[in-house]
Amino acid sequence: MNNKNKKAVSLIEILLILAILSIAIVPFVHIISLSIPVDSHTDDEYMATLLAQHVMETIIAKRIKNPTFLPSVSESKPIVFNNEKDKISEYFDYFEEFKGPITKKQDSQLYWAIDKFKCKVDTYLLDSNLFKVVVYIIYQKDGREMKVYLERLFPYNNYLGDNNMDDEGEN
Amino acid sequence: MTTNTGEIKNKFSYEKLFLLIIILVMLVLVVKCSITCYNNYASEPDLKNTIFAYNNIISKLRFDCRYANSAKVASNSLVLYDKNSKILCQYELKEGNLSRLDKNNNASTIFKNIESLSFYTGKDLPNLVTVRIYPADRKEIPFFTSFALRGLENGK
Repeated sequence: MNNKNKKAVSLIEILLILAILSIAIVPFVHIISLSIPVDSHTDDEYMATLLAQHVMETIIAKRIKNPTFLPSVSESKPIVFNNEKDKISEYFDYFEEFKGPITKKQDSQLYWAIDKFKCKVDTYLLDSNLFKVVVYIIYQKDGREMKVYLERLFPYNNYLGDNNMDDEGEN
Repeated sequence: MTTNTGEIKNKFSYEKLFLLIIILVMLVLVVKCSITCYNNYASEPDLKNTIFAYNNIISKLRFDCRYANSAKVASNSLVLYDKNSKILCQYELKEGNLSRLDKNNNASTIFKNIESLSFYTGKDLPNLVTVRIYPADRKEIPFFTSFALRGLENGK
């Protein structure tokens, strides 16, 4: 009889431990999942990549039109019109459809989708025949500055129609 | 003996009740976890489908724009021409679906459920095509990017 009682109690004890563990493990799993960096492509990251492509393709189109065109180095600038037109990135300051930059009034959906992003362009001279253009699209996420960049090598005086020199990344 | 057996019976009924409660708690937790996992899994394909469709548009337009030399844009259509001014391909919005017609007029739908779409080029840069797409689902991000017409030879 004593043996029977002991067995029943031990089974319940195991189940009790399992139940407590299953409840206690939930916050631990949550903490661990928070500590793992997000690897998935978020909407912001994807939108930033589309915007970086717009800037790089604009530079390529300008180089096709004028092979001596060299993009100037620019600081981080907004890409939609808020108050001061001078502060908008030169790659977003005129669109034929809007007859100017993107504004809240003309296209509110697009405005709010890209309002948070800023654009910065860096140009590096690598040697006498080659220069590198890096396009950064910058945005804030959870208080951290996020950057998506697209880089490309260009030769002097003639454009490259091939995509093999493209590179992109994020940090 | 009878008292003893009665005690044992009472003990067992308590234990069974306790056991049932614990099993119930565990079952509830398992069901809750399953629902959470299912919701997470079920919510992913929608996003992936839109991103997949956007990637499809990018790869198609990038390829076509490599060989395109000029473009003719209308409110919701785009015609790309090669260096010999022959039609390379066409993009057209019909009944909310974006289709691509190749030079042999073979159509393929590359994006469904579009609310509005516009193609445009600039006066200063006619060799740059900008595309803006709003999916019918307002929760999805809009598509907004550009493609340079490179005008390379030896298209497909």
